[in-house]
Amino acid sequence: MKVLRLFKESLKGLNHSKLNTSLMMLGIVIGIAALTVIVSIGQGAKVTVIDRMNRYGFGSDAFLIASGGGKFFSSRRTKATSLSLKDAEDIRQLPNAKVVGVYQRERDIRVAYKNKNKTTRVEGSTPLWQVVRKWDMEEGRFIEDQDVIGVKRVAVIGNTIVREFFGNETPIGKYIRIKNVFFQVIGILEKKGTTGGGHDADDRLVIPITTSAQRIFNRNYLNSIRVLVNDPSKVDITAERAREILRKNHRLPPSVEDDFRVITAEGLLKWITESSRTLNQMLVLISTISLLVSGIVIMNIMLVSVNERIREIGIRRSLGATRRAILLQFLMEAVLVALFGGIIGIVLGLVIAKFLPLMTSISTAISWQPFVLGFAFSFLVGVLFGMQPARKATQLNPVEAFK
Amino acid sequence: MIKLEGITKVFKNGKLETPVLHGIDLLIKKGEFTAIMAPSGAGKSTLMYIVGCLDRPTSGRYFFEGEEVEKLSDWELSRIRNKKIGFVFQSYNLLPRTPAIDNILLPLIYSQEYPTNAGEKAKEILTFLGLGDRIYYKPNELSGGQQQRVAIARALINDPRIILADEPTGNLDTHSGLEILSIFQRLHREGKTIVCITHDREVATHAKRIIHMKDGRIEREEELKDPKDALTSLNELKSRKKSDEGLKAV
Repeated sequence: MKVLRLFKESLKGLNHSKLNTSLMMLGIVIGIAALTVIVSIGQGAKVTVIDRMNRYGFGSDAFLIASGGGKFFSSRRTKATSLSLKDAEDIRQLPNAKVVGVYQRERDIRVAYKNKNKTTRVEGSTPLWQVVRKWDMEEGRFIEDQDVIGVKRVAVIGNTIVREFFGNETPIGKYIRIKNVFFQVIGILEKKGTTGGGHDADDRLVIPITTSAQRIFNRNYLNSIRVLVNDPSKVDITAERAREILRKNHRLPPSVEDDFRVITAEGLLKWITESSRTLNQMLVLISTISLLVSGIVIMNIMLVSVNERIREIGIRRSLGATRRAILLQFLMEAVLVALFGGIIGIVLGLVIAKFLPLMTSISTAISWQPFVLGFAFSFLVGVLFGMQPARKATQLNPVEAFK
Repeated sequence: MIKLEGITKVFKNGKLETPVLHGIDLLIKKGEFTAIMAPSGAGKSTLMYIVGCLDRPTSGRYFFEGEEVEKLSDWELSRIRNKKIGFVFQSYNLLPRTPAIDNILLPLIYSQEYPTNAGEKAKEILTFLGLGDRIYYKPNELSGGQQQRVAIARALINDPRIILADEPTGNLDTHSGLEILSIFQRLHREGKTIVCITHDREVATHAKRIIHMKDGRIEREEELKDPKDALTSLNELKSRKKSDEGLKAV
């Protein structure tokens, strides 16, 4: 209880010198805010990776070949029309290839049911889609080989489309229009919900790849080929083999870059961490420096304040304050300043983390870590840099204070 | 209650040694009102700090209620200052920007127990000292005499055995000074031990016993049969003022 009384005295002390208090807080605020942003970016990167992996149905036993050169998810440098069913067929011949799925897809395709309209993502694929995506049916059936061979106008739809078009109606057997071509709904995909990145996984529909090529997209090239392998430890070798096949099929001379991208789970992780590393290092540096500087500022201001308050210390000692009580009061002042600054810093950092993705391509995620780290670090700064001034306060001779 | 035996104090500043007290022997009994009178620079404040357990003597023995102070730890000394001694300083030594009530309650922060009726008690004391309506005033909003009364209230909050006053009227005009002295006399009548340090004979003659100090030594002791009564002086002063005003009016 005595500590609580001393705590109140510390609060009053801080309240009496608001300028000092705010100056001391400033550095901590910046340091902790930077720390919070770093953690949020780190978390954001992690969420992005997981999100991407989920979206691409990625495991360590899979790799993806996407059309167009460049780097993973960054903008395609070349728009290629070279990825073909033959490529997929050749890759299937590789000994380690287990399943090879082929895709055509386009976003923002207009679909309609009766008088309802919407745009969605349309994918053209084969029965293997379900295997490589590991996605079950909620109702009805998936595309079958006959559908592909017969260029059938059938569609498997996601839950979002069910909700928006059919409500309580049964969708199976109904006809929807895709780019004004009628398709019969044959199945509903299991609901996956929104992914971490805010992408609605259920806003899609799948049709046979032959139908998509001839009726909807009017093109033969593929957007991607997905390969599941038998032996996950050899996924890199298989991916490299696939790359060689594609380069040969596409007749690319050695001096020309790939017009496709081979994406493995490992490569994906590496890319994510590398792309955020420089920024992270900068921010870690900034937050370390500002925390250090703020600690020194706290120490300096506190030392000056102890000198200014030598009379107060004398008074308190004469009224029965032990050295320990004085130490606690000043130490708590330093820790409180640091913690207040830390709280403001966390809030500021979270606000920045919230708005950063809107203005830049950096993705962030808000989690519990910044709170714990922010508290821990500001507390540490308060204790470390408050100790020396508090010690000094206890070593003052109360008698000197009255002279 | 207080017994000093051959107390000396030497201040060291680098190699320079300044002896301030040269062997003080002093006995103060419970319930006494003692004035320690000395010209400035005689070491009377130093003596008070030692008596008040704020400073330690260079040599000699000091017993506070039979306990040898030299052997006590910081914690025990702090407890004596907190519980048994009430300080009153020349410059009041109130915490600035802090309301009277909080200044008065300050010693309780450092007590083992914080009485639930502390606020009541503080108000009671302030009312007793005639400042009942100034509870939330800050020191800079109070006159010198009022500040000193707040300081006395603070000294009284923990019911100390002894009040140590260092030039309590030094910064005050005659009227306020007499008010403070009348408070001391009232406290003395109620059984408090009071030690008042002053250079002013006018002040010292309000005590029953005057100890004369000079150059760090006790010169002589004086016992007053009939010390001045501050309240009487105060009334005289008031009536004189009135007659002055009456004269002016005529």
